[in-house]
Amino acid sequence: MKLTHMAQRNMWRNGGRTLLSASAIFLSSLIICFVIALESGFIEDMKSNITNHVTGDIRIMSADYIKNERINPLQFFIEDTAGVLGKLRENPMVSLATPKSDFGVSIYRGGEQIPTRAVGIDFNDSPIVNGRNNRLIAGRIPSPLSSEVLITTGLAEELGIRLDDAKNNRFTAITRTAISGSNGKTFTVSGILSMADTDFTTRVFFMDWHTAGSFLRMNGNALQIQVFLKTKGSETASAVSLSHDLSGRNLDIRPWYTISGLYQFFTMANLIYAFIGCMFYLLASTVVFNTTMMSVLERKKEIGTLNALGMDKRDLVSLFLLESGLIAAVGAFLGTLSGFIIVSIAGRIGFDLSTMGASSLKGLSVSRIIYPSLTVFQYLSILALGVLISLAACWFPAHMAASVEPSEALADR
Amino acid sequence: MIGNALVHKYFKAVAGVCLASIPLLSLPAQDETEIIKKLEANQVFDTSRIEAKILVTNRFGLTGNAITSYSRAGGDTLIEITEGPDRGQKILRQKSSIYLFYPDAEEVIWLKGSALKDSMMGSDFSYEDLTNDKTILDRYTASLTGKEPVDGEECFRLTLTAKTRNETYAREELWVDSKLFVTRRALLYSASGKAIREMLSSDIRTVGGKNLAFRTVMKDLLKKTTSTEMLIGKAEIGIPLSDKYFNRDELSW
Repeated sequence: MKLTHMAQRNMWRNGGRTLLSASAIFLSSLIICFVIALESGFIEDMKSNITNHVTGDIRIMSADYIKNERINPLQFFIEDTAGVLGKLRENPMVSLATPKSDFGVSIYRGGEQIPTRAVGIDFNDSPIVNGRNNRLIAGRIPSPLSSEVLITTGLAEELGIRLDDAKNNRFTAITRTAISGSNGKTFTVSGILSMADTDFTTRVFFMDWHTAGSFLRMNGNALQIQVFLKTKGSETASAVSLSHDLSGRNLDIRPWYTISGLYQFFTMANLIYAFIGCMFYLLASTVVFNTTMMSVLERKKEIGTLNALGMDKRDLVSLFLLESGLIAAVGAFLGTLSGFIIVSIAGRIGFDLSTMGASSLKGLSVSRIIYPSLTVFQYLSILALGVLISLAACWFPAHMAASVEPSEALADR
Repeated sequence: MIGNALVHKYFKAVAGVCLASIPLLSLPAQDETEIIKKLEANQVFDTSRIEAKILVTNRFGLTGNAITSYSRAGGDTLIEITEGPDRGQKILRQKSSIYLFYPDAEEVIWLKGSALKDSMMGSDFSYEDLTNDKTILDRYTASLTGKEPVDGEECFRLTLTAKTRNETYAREELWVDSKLFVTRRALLYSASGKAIREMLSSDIRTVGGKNLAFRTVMKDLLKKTTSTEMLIGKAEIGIPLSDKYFNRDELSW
């Protein structure tokens, strides 16, 4: 208690130096909060886009499709898709099961064929149209079983689609079918969908999954079912359970993170950013080290006197560690608090990457707008790491102070 | 190129040889040019209408479509799918252009560029096979390498070597029936010298003075399990055909 009081008093014996140390830790905490929040937001966004737009928490496809995936074998759709969906929807651990058929088409425009991606979905419940970053900016959702489609803003711009003009609100697309032939169909654009996911900003359009099943000659079936679970984090066990429920149907059922190679990237990125955070703190700790060292050298006589008066070496070490720890704690707390405020604001308005070359992120399932976010645990970790690294940095100067001999210190001029 | 010959045989409904030429078969010596000219003579006619089934087998199973093909001198051809999942689709060749009509599409698709290389009805034929107007001798250097029987019938064995690198097949071997001047067997080679496709024709019948193979099988030798079989059900040659069959604007009739 006495040491803590002494440490608090000593902190302000050289206010400028204390402010310098605290500022270094403050700035480091702030930057680390923002960088890790941005990275966390980035990864959460990727995960959200992959699960919502591509796989679901668990993806179900025909096992034969997976075996021949390289050649995009449309003939291996999910037999009795409606029956499988019904069974999944009865399962208490499933919050949503929705069909999806993702396939390639060519849009015929002015004599040219434009390679485009078409996706058949259930407009009632698919996260593709109901997601946080996805917004219907014009028109309406297509009617079930109709030849109406939703198109992305990029495709609308490229094709010159105008919803209010009957001559310019439709296009013809041709595709390879599940029976190895081809099919063509004219679609009417009922709405324009703005999606932040960079994989869905350009040549993509969406149609009712029954329409896609018919267009592809798949007898009204779908290529895939996205399954979303009520309890996140139980994907592996749930996939095994669903496999038992749907046994005998020759289906490939697996959690999203075993499908996307990006999951490994997630893990690696977390480690890299934690390392970068440590590096920031190490840089800040050099300031703490220097100021503590200067303090020890300036207070050599005082240390000698305290020593001569009977203060033991452990207390001397504790005194200097307490001084630095208090400065670091104040700096890290204020830095983390400021980081929390900035991250909270940025997390609401989003961080727009479109001005920073977001198009180069295509294929990574990343959105144009990233919403930084940190968990309470992450905030506490950043705070604790700042204090611990600062304490480690002043370990040597504190021990140097404890090694000062009273006679030598008092004789020092 | 033999793909072209095959397509001409089935989709343009021309194959065989003029019956009038059969007496010439007794002549002992014929060179490769003469044989090919007789073979190609089968492909000259005024009009034809053919009903056939196309059965495509691959590792994923069997699919079948029934077609009716209309063709006339000059190469104009219309193929209409009359039965099967793609019923109502039409493929029109006008000069060297290919147009596709789909019942659910409001516009007729004009195929260009790499799209011409796409498979037609999932078969081993591409749309491009329909478009080549040049003769065999324009595109290939031929040599007669001997005589061999195929299905018990005496055939001329010819080797064709492509004159340019643009041809789909760098080399072809043909076994041409020495009496009927119909290709009974063909082996098609890639530029690396590997045989990639084999065509076998049988059930040859005479229709309107032409000899037609009513059954032809094209096998993909690289995929092993892939083949396309064409079975002609009815063939008419030299019949009157309305211009509407060959008019792009009339495809939706």
